[in-house]
Amino acid sequence: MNRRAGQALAALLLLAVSLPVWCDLNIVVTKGYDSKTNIAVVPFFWAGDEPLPQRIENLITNNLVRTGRFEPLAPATMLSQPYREEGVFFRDWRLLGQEYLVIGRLEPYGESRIAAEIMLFDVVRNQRIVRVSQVIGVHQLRDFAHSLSDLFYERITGVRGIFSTRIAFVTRQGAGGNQLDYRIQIADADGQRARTVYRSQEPIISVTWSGDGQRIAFANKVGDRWKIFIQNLSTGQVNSISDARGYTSSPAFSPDGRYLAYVSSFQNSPEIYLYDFQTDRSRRLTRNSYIDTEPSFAPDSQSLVFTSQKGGRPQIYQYDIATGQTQRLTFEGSQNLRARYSSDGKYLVFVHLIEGRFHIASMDMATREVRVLTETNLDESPSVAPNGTMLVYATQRGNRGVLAWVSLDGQVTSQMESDFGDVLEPAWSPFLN
Amino acid sequence: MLLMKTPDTSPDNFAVGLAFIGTALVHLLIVALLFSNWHFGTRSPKSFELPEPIRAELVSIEAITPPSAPAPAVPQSLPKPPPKTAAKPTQEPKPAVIEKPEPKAEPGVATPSATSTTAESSADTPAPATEPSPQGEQVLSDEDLFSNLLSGLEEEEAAFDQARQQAQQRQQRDQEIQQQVVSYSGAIREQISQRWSRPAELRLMDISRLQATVTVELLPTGELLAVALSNSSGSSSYDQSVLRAIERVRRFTVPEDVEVFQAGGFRRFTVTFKPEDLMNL
Repeated sequence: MNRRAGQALAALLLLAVSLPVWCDLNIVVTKGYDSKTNIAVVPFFWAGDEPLPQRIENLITNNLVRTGRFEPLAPATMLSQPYREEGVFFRDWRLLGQEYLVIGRLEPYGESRIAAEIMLFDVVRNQRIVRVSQVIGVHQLRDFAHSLSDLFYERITGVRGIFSTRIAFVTRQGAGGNQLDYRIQIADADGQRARTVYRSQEPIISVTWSGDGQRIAFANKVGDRWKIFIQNLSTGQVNSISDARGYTSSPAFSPDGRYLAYVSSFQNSPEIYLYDFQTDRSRRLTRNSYIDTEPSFAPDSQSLVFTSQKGGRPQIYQYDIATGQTQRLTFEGSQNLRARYSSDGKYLVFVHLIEGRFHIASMDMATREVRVLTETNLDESPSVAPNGTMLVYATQRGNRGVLAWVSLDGQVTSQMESDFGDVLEPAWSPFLN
Repeated sequence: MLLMKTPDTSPDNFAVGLAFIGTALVHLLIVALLFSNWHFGTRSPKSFELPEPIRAELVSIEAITPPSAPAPAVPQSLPKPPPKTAAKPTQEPKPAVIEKPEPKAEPGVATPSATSTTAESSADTPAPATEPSPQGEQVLSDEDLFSNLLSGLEEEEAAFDQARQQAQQRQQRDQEIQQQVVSYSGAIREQISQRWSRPAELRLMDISRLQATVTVELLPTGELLAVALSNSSGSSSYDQSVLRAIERVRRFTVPEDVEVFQAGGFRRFTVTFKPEDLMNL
């Protein structure tokens, strides 16, 4: 008895000594491979006789490709082309390395209408994540494709899509002799369906959108002066707000719609002014002998950022409207200019010149940390999509100025020529409802 | 030590005497260690640098220990019980392992960590398994010990060798397991890393300091059973990207040996995502 007890005890001791001590397993991943998301957009089934004017699946595919973060599967390599949920075998799509799958079926529905059923599947999780069943007019196919793209993009990335927004840009072409024809055009976010909203034989610059997307403002040369005009997009009506002589430019609406900041060199050097739509009056914000320009409001309309050469070279400053205080924001790089707030106000996106090269950089407004996003060889300023994930530029291709869409990792994902000559100064609209 | 090897067929007085003294010393040591352990609650196994004779006592319990590791694991939630462990699990002591106060809710996971619990708190935990021993041992006099030892000496010598061998094998096995754990967790890290795509929407911000931890549960085949966020980065986009990375792996590279799978913690482990490759960009 005693001996057994002793054995047992000693055995316990031995147990303590000889058995390994296993810790819980923790794996630390310190690297990632930022690859594109594979998505298969199966050609939609169309039950009608006449071919449709737009192929929705192609519009969706092009939209997703333009963001630079999707890699679509070529339809020829698909093992099957289902258009109903029963025909979807996740395993097949996984074999093809796909993460998401889009299928759709369109049927004629009365006179020039279509009943559409479109679905998005998460192949990794084996589940349907979007199902849209809707009757649309044939003329609405393009809008329908853009809103589907928005929906898919948001479901996949968690970020609101920009495919239903618009881009405004200026075109310039020769009109015989020394004459030039300038136009402001507004197109879909993919550059299609451009329409002219304003024409002039004198240069047009600095097109900008109001916060609600209902109005644009721009500067147009009139005789020997530059005036700022505001156009209501639904009525087409144009008003001028500045009668000051000299050079006025760089208008910027406050997001709440009450103010328009702009630059005027009426008295000496270019300074920032604030026009109040309620009182119909302007007041001057900056007062110095340096160039102050390119104002842009914070989303809360309480402050604005602008570029100033106060410190010798262009840098970005912030002006608080309530207190009138100005503070410098950028210190890195030889020049920083053309700052714009991200739509959530958390970041500034701006042009950043360092070692002689232009970059697009962002600044985290909480930490003031600057990140270089994209290197550009472009002298034109970019315009940032309202969700902050894409840029649109005017760039040279051959001898023509074209629109170029660039993802935030710097790849040009799409280019487009205009029918009216060179493209200048695109401006991406805010989210439109 | 050599004395212990003296053949038992020659009851040489001298040898017996020496063996007796040796064994007695060892037992005294055990008792001393035991008591010091008992009273002061010494937890570190390192203090027990015991001479081998102690291990001789293992014989009776060796039969108990091996099944305790793999046995409970196999029947639980494994779709196909592996044949090699299937032979063992009829042993009694299972309950002793299972009832260990393991804070984790998941019963299947209890096994590997239960083992570590034993090692860390040898004074308290194993008590129920060997209940009669503590009191019995404490009242033993040295004389009792001497006589007991003398009578069991011969079988103990044989048992001792066997136990030492087993201990060595065990140690070797542990090392093997350890090596496999290192190599397989490296492979898993690579699998996840290759599928971790940071959201492009986060390029505006500096995400190099964001960290998230997920808990991954696997089947012994390496298939993903469940993944859950155990520590959020604060950014839902980032959190989604790490969950997605795990889901995209689908089948993880895990040890085929179920014992390694269990003991190495592959049934349930955590993955921490720190994008060090994005620092200083």
